[in-house]
Amino acid sequence: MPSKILSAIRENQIIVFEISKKNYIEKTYEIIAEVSNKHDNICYVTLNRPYQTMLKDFAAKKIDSGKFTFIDAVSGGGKNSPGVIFVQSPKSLTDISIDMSNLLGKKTESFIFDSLSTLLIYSDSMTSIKFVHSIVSKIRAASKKCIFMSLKEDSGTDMMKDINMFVDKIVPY
Amino acid sequence: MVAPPRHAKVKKGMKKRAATSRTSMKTRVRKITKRRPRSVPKNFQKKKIQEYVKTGIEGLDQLLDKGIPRGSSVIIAGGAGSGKTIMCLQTIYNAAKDGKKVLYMSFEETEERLLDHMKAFGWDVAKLPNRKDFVVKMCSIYDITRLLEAMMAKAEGDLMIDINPIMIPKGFKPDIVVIDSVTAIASAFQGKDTYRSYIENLFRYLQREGVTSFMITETEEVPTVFSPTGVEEFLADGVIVLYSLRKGDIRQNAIEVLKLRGASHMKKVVAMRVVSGVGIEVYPEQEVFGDIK
Repeated sequence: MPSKILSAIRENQIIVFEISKKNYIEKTYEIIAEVSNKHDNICYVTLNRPYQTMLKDFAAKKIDSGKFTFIDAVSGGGKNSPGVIFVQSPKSLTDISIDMSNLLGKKTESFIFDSLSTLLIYSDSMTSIKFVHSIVSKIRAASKKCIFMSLKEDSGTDMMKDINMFVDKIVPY
Repeated sequence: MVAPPRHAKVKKGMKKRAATSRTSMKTRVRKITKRRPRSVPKNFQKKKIQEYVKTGIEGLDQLLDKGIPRGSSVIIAGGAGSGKTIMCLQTIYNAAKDGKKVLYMSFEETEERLLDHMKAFGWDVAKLPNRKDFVVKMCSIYDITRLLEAMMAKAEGDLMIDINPIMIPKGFKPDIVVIDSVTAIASAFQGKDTYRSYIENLFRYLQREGVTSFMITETEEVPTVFSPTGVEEFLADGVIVLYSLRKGDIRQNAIEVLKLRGASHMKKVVAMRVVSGVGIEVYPEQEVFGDIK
């Protein structure tokens, strides 16, 4: 359903895609591929899969990784290089926010945040909501796009109910 | 010809003197008016232009607005690993690059180790244009106890020479002094009264000398008291607090300007990083996620 993704991105600035656990990875890469077709400068914040794993997947799916700057909060640290910034932990929300803000100032067109569900595993609901609100405000002020991934199974949580207030659309996918 | 009566002569003289004095009064008023513009009030005094010291640390100077008023004493408080020493070294290195004379008085680390720390961040003191104006002095607690004995002897009249509360190298008049740390100095004192007397002397001395000073104090991770006895933070003109906050198994650095007399500043705790090869970076727009407790 590529057109559903494209129209959601076209019509909205801040979007949450709710994806079922069953085919989460497959659907995530469909979204990534669509965003990659539309934008040339994308920041991918991964709390799920390490940077090296994603590079291999990108190559296999013929997605141009050169368009992406990764913020890898999974690998537990590493040496930063032009395509990747390592953050020591998925709990390091302040560091993730600083790195996203720095990239906002460097012509990044859109952000993909993978995922809100993983965020909740490492941080409490209130801290997670504050974090999401903070980064959404910065991205909005800069007139850029942001796509959040989330598990459909988490749609009833307090965090998702509150996040509803500051995103433009929640899209079941 | 009949001479004019005496009273007429007097009257003429009086008229002449009056005319002369009126003219000179006019001239006097003109001169005064020329000297002093009309818009200036009569009791005008020239205002002292306040100078400010910048740290040169990205983001921290934004928190401080115009900067630290010159001659201020500022407490740099924080727990272990919060970045106090790095912050002070970075500040004085930046000041030295600007041509200021700086003195780092260390009670814990040697000059060699401190200069090595600085080199690790790319601050090579040997390459400063005026190397001799960057002085690192290793001090011992016994220096303080000897000074204290001398100060007490002076107070009792047994000593005639003036004793300063810290030993600045002879002939060196620093613009900025770092004392690392006041906590170490406090440990040299047996009684609170003697320590209080000493510390008041120290603040007065630094103020008299017009030195901008940074005094490091060791505190708890999230302090409620920012100095060894609590007195120092009241005497000081400013307090900057550095945090190394534990969030589960990670640490997050943060900073705030708690107090700064005579200058405006941002009032919030913001994120801070110690960046390899750069030093401290402060992010005035970045809140710290998670409770600070």
